[in-house]
Amino acid sequence: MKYIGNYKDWINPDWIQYLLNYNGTLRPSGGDNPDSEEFKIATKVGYDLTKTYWQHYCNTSCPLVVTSPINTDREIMWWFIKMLPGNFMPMHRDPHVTEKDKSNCSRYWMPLQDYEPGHVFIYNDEFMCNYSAGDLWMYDDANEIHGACNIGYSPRLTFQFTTYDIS
Amino acid sequence: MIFLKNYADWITPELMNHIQVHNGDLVPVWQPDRWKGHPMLDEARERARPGYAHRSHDFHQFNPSSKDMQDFKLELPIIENDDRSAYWWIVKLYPGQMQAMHFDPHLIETPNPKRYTLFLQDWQPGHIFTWGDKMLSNYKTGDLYQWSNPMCYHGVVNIGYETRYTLQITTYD
Repeated sequence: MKYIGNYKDWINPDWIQYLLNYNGTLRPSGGDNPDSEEFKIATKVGYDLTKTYWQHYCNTSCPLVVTSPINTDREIMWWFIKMLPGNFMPMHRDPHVTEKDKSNCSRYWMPLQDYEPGHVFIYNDEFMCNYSAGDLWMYDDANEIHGACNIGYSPRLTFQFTTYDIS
Repeated sequence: MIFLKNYADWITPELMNHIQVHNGDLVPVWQPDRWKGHPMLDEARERARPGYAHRSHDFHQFNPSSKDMQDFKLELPIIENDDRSAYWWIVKLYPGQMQAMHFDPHLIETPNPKRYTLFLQDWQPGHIFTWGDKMLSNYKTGDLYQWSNPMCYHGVVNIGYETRYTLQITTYD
């Protein structure tokens, strides 16, 4: 993970209140899941796609108006994730970074809170910790395996986005 | 965590087969009845209550009194040259199972405890053991670690794709 900088001033406190007060799309139970080999394997080893493991907020599912925290003239897709205590996201690769209509994907991750023990984000074997709200990292490889969980005591909020070229 | 030694030779195919075939005891993550009777336990219980009291997470554990261990004789590896007593338990986490951040309640009244973890398989992405601002990764089957602080808050979770197995040991006077 390559550290880009701190963008705490970019975070709108109203977003935090919205995320804490309203449910996002309950995943993986709500909405369609990718017809990917990864999801098939996840189901096979015991993950239950009818349960809620995390909540997802994006431009089509929530009223938040979000612009890129970094200067870019590329296309951008963004989403927030909320994990309540006990929630998790199994290790995975993002399906969208290998979609045919997207090329040269750059994948970013930003915690919206200071690090707390039990708020876990894993990029391959790299454990992200001691971060501050607004710290922004770019994946070394947009298609790298990663996962997250909250075995702490407070809701965990993060912002993700991908910039890409239309192909 | 202090790496002590590799005990891969101690891990037998029979042990691994036994804990793969059996599930041991199903233990709830939220155990309010166990977390009481001491101010530290009361504080930890109430800290966890908002996030976990309404949830039904559980995990699997084998210990000397588990029904699934009555026909299996487990002799611990010799990790100390003194004659201290020991507790042991094996934690089995299927994908999606966890133990939220906690300290080990049995240590409160355990005299001079030393705490160890012996990994029963190689580390895999998604097999998470975290304490404070640390996570242990890339360990090998049989690696034995002594905890620098037995009373530290720690947690484990399996967000990988294979069941996770560890042997936990506490020695005491």
